[in-house]
Amino acid sequence: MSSLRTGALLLSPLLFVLLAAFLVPLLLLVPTSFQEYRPGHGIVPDAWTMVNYVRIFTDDFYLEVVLRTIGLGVVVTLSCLLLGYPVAYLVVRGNPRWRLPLTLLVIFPLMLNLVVRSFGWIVLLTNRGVVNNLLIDLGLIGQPLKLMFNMTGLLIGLTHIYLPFMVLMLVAALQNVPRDVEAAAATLGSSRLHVFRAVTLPLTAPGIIAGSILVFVLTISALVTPRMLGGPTYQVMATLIYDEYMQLLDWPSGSALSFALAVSTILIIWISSRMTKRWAGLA
Amino acid sequence: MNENRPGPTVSFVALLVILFLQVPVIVVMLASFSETSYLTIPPQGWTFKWFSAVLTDRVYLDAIKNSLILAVGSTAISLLLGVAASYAIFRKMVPATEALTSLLMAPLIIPSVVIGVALLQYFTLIGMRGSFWVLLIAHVVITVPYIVRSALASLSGLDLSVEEAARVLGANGLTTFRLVTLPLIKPGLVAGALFSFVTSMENVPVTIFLAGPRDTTLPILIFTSVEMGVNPSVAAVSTLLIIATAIVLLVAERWTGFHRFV
Amino acid sequence: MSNVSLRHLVKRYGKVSVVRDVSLEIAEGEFVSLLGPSGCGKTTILRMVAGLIEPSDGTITVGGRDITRLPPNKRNVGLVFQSYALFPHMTVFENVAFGLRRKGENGPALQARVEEALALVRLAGYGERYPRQLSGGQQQRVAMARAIAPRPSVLLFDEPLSNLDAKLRDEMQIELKRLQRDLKITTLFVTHDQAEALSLSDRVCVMNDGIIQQFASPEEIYHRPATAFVAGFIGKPNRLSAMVKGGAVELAGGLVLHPTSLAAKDGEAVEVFIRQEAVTLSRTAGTEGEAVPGTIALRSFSGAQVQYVVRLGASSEIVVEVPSSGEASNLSQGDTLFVNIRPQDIITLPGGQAA
Repeated sequence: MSSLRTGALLLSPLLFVLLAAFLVPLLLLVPTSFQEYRPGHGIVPDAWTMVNYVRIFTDDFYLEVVLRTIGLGVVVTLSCLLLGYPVAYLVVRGNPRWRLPLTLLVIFPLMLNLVVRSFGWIVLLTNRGVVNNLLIDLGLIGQPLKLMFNMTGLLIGLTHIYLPFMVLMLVAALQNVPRDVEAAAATLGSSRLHVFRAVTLPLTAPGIIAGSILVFVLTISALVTPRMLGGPTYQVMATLIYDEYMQLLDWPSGSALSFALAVSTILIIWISSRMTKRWAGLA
Repeated sequence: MNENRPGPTVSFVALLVILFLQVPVIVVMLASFSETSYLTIPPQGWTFKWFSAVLTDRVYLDAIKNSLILAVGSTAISLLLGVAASYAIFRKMVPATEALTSLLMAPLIIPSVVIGVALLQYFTLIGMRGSFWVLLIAHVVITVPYIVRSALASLSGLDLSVEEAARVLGANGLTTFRLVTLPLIKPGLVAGALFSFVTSMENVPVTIFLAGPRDTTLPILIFTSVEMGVNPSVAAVSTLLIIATAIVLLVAERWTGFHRFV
Repeated sequence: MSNVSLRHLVKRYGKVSVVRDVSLEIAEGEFVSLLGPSGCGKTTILRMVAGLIEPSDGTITVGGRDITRLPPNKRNVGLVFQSYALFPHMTVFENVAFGLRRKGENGPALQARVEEALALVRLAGYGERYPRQLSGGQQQRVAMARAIAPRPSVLLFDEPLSNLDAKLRDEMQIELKRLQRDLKITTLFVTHDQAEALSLSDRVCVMNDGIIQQFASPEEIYHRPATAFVAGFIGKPNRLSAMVKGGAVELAGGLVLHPTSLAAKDGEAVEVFIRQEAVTLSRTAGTEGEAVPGTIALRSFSGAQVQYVVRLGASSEIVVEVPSSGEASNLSQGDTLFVNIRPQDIITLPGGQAA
């Protein structure tokens, strides 16, 4: 049929680009990850090994980085959820006149260059930064607090970066809660808190889960903010991959780590979408 | 029962969080006008010298130029390829549309740093590393999902009989698309193009592995210069980006009701 | 202006046939309705004529020209959609001009043709408005103006009045009829509303399950339905099972009726259709046709009409509709009376089960 020919014609340029500059390059990471790297010599030809993968789970340094990345993902997700829910609630249920300005204030940081946002946190959190200067001037502390190159800095920075995603997901979920159901619960004698716990929260659960998955996946893949606020010493998986490619030139290790990271994100998204679909089927 | 309006506590917390979202923006803007090379509150002395430093510095100007060329170029290509592909998928002209959509959206799911190293290794292998065209194609890969997403969403909201009406009235497929379909999905495409532009404009994880020495972009410049310490000219160029972003966002909101597409 | 002929038209989706061997001849300038329940294939036929669906088999010719495989833009047909499908980003003028522009029309000639079309639907002066600024009825008329402006050889309507409220629908029906009579364009009109089909059409084609049940004038369809489906679909019939016995039909419970014509032989099962509105009620037996004694089981008032459920004999019930201004309008439950049925209003069709 001619529509198939038209369709192929319309699709093929993009498919070609994605094949040549996305799919094939990704698949080529796989053989590299089974190659052996010797410091000082580079990649050993024709020597295949599992060591790059084994190391991720056995080497203390790697294990620490992996666990730190996951831990960071969990904590950032939780804080985005805690901070994001009131914002979403205010946007959806607050005065309708505030709705657009508040939404734009949530979107604005999202549209702003990631490097600029991270730079802002450096200005705030560095040893002679705004926060420390303020606290010292107020006489609350004598020595600057260490707010960067550690969990604190990354947690604050990443929460700030990914909070808008969470808010937007929760806004969408809250909009779908029928007000009549809440009103029904209230007429049946529920207090405001109980209406929220028994009706609103469960009905926004799909949005909470979708937002959490999104923030978690983005956090564990983040490179820019962890590098800018964590420096070269406080590593997460993405910054470690970066160093292995750019500084150490240990491509086999880097590709194994890349592959592990990519597969985890795909699995997390796949499983969660399967779960959400099953729930949607129940509803 | 006042219609489940948020109480004062919830509102206060929410406003604090929204303020928290703006804090780095405010701080960067203050820092860019500060006399001293580090920032205190209140700032000590006001100056425009960091702005004139940035706007006369070849390195910054080149980086801004490269970023703009890359963002405009990749968004234009993504629009062309992405809208064509989305239309074919939407009209089910080809089989396996669901799998194809997943492939087109995949660059959004794979961590950017992984795409970056994969492209680094691949283009090194085929000897094209450091070429501007490679960088451009890489940016098409990472921006095209935004176009595809907004195109598919806009198309699915289209009343198909409107296209049929045009066909029956004598328009061929291309004319129908140009005169009817395209104008109707335009607001969504503008939003998608804006996302694409912003994504290209801020990308570090892919660009840093592929950019040749002459192709350094603005985010790469900021990213690497920060490793050498906080520099007020970074604050100045950041402020320029903040203002540009705010203007673009407000204009897009005026034009297309942008917030509906986020 | 042209005659339309559909020959052995078939549309299959996989193993499911939506349209099964439909042949139809529409004369030049004729107004034909395709009437049937949803899913009967009527819209599929319309869309095949418009070129929006490709037939699996058969041919479509307009004015002798085979258009079966032509794309919609080469067919010169006008189509009015159920949803109107106006271009929301164009003014009324540009909507109506769209088809004319595709034919290369421009300048003062275009202007004149658009204004002429808008005047025909009584929307002169609305050219600069956008569709969203118009009421439903006005949008409907723009859709018509847009379809007739390029002077199509066939005009197609896909349930065009179903989105309008009842009052507006009646007005538009009259307008549509006037328009078609003035323009004399061959018209194919798809609807599931029998009153609409009967009042508008020169001929009505009743369809069910992808097959033509009957293609005839509205009067013929109403008074002489060809199949049990048509008899059951048109009007408000009472449907009763009976047996043919000695030139008459015997209903369950032994009641015997004498129709003018019989569709079956002695001893065979038939279905008997008696329209609610074709029956009269009286205290004394009428002189013409059957006068069957009955008892009122239920009365229901609905404005212009009153409906009664009348029990006949031991086990039969029929619904009778009488004008609420008539003398039989204020009977009450339990009243005994006569149900008068003229022989020609007793329609028998084969295929019923023996009672």
